[in-house]
Amino acid sequence: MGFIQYYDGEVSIKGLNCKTDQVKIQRFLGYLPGEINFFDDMRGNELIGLIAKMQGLKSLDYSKTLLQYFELNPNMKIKRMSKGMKQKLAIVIAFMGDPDIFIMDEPSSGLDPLMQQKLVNLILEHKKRGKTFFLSSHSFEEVEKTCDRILMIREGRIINDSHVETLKKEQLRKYEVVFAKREDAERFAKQNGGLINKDCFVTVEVLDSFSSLLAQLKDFEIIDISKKNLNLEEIFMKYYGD
Amino acid sequence: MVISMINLTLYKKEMKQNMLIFLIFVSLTILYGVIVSALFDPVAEGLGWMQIMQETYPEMLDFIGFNVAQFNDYQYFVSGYLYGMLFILFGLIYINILSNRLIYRYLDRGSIVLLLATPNSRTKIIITQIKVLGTYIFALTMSMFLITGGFGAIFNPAYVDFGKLFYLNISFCIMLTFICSVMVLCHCLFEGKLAQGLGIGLPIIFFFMRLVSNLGDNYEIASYFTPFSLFNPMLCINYDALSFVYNGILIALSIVLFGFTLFGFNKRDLSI
Repeated sequence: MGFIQYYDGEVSIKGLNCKTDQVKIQRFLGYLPGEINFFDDMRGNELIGLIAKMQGLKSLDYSKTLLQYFELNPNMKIKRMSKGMKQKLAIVIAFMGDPDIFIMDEPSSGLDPLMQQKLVNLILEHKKRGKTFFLSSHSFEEVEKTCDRILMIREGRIINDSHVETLKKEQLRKYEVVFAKREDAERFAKQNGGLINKDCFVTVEVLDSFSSLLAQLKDFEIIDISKKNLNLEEIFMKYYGD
Repeated sequence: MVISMINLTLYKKEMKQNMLIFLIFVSLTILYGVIVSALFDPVAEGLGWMQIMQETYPEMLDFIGFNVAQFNDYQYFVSGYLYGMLFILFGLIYINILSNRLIYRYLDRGSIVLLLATPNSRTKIIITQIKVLGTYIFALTMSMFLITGGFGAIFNPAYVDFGKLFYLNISFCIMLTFICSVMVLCHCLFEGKLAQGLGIGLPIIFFFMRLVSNLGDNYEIASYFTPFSLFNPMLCINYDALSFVYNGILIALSIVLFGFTLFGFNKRDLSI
């Protein structure tokens, strides 16, 4: 985007240098900032008109469609809009030029669940049309629903780069075992690094195959075994929690 | 050339949005312009109260910038009462409000990224904002010219020299443009309170240095530390060659400072 100077390496989008070709890049880029700071004195429709003209858009038809889709009335001063309304306005502005690439920072921030789903649907629809999304988010549900590839960043460095499904397959191997006796649960947890949740419930992570877990359990009296579904949030915590 | 360096849509939007403030300052200018024009009485018998004040407390009037060299010359009269302090203060406050609205606020709040997320370069956006500032500075000084000239022509038509008043206001416009370049530079290079503080602080310091330098030979050294010394209404009214030199210096300094502004703005990290 060219908003921040970098002093090492190179950043390019579609082969264009972000430092020197910023104007060319902006022609096919839709940007949704994390902090929505509009010109408060303007009305929503005035802002849309201004940015559309600055983007060189010939028609506002698509912006009108988006406004209807998000049920947003833009004919009021931006300073009187709620956080959610401002967010919707920013989304409309990012999408109205129908760009090829989107950079979005916390796109569903401030939206109610219904609008969050609508946004997810809109992103998926654009993805089907071949658009690319770079999405920075702390909403794991949003990431799970919309992203193909996830980069986890910690202290400025990438600590994980995986496809969503791969990440889930790699990590979703936790089981909850219910033992008949408390002492069995404690012994098993001690031997296999499991975690006793309550009474005789032990959560255990399986690193190799499920049959190895069964082999380890054969000497215990077991009441129940269930697969514990991890979501991305828990996967994330594995990388960040220390 | 100039048109291609600015974004016309943004320019029109900013011009429209800042019109009200302009009209408020023009109203103030009219108010003071009418009063001072009406006070001018070239054939008055005896000393007027202002002359008495000037003869009784010359240092005090010098200090506050009220210094009329000839009471029977409209150009001297107007420049002494309006361009010594009042209009300079109007100009300072007006430019500061505009620069805050057009540059500082956008950078501080981060809304500038909304403009830069369109296919327009940083240079084009900042030049557009500076162009709006320049247009309004020119418009304000031309209003001052029309108001002082116009009301002078109504009250004492035989004493008004439009050519001299025009050159006085063009010189004043150049002075304000330089002050504008200082403010814009501070707003673009620095952040937060430092940007705001320096943006208004430096011009105010310059202004008070000028007032101090008016106090006489003992304080003349202050005049070397303020760019306001390069705007001398008396020299302008007399078309003195030195005023042209001063204007040239101010124009050159403004270009240099705007150049630094463009460079600094292009290098600056923005809120994302």
